[in-house]
Amino acid sequence: MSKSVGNVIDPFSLVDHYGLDQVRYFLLREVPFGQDGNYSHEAIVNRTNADLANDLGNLAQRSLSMINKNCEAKVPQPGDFTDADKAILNQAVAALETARKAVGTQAMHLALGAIFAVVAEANRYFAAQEPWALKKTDPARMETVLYVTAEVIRRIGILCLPFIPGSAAKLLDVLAVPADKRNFVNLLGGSELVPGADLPAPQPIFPRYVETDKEA
Amino acid sequence: MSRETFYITTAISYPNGSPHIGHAYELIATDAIARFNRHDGKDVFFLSGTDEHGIKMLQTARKEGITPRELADRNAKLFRDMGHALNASYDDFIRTTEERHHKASQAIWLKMVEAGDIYKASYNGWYSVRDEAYYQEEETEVRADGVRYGPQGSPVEWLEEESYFFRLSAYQDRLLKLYADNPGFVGPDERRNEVVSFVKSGLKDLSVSRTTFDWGIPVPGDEKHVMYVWVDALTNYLTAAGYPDENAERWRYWPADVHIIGKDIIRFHAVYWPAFLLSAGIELPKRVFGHGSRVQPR
Repeated sequence: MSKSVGNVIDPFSLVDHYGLDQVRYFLLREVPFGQDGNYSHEAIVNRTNADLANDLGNLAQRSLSMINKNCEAKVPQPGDFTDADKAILNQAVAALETARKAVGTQAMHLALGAIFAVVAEANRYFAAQEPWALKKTDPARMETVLYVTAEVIRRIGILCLPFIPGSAAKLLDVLAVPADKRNFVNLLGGSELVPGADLPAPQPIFPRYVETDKEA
Repeated sequence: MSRETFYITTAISYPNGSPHIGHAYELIATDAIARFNRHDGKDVFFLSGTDEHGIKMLQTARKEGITPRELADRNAKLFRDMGHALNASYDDFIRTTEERHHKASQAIWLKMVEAGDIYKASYNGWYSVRDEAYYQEEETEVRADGVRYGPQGSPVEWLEEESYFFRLSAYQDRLLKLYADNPGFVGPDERRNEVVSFVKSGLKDLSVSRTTFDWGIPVPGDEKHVMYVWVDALTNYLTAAGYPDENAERWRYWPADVHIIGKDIIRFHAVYWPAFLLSAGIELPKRVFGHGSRVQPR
């Protein structure tokens, strides 16, 4: 595969090479739908590695691995929510309204922008709350932070379903979200993760694109 | 009790070649919108398909030594395979060579005849096979190679034929009123401005049949004519909703909420299509959105 994707105009090879949801995400996120744009190998790799592999993939992998190790592979038991907890939970719901308006005018890049702003904020939340440190100092608070993170990932997963349906479904699978609870109405309350529910073993969902150097 | 409906379409693809990134881009974006609305609780109908008539299909088939039907069958399959590879969730994939589509196209034709908008005249001009369009002499130029070219840069030849015409010139005011009353009818805004200025500059009647080849849908009652491929192509959106059977189960989806198309075919969707529908007395789609293209650098 040439680095310049000079020879990749065939959608089948593009999908084979980068992955289906990587291609879908890139095309929908990178350029406003009404405008012309170009695509290059570098742009596809940078965008999908940054947003999917790093931001969303790592957040899910780190938080779910912690839950798996420290919470007996069950949905953690949250205590009272702090303002920081409520803020990130609410942002995930507010993103729906932004996304709905954007998709209503065929501006998918803005919808994904709002959804991935939640992903970025959830990463900041996770880093700031330091659940790995709470493990020793305040295990109950650790469970709350992990619960909030997992619940935010559930909401992000549902919001991502239209855009990257295969990967978003896998994300919801590792949270054991039932098939009939994967609609936007399930963002609004009553469908939150149930503390104590069993979770399957976490598995990586967004592989990182690694350059293979190089077939001559 | 009954959920809000949402009907969305891609353009139908012209299968005289294999699918390329432009087809994939449109299908992925349209799929995302369809899925979004399903997850939002709507009763969604998502349509894609292939536009299989016209002289270019005939010419490509001849070049390959096969029939246009064989070419259409072979390449329509590639477009369906692409839909599968892209995880596209369309509810129907229409092929304009299907019987249901011949019925619908002939039905809308007869409605336009009833409305007095179809008439027969003789037609001549500089014809581009590639564009499937006639041009005025002043729109063409003879280049250094001695060949005459049309405004899109394709060779043109002098052609005279008997043709049916659609009285497009009668629809200028109604179309301008449509764009003014429904600013969201064409999107994005740049596309609407282009369409409005095109219509304001004056509309000529449109030649809507051909006698020079037969790979198309016959004009009812005058079968040496086939319909201009765009009359047939645009009608696919009605066919899939059951037209002309307004008791069809899917008729509840019409009018379409949005047609997602490439900006290069905005004129057909935002000018000709609403004019045909107005003539036939059929409700208009709510929006036509012309997306940009993804090209590779260098």
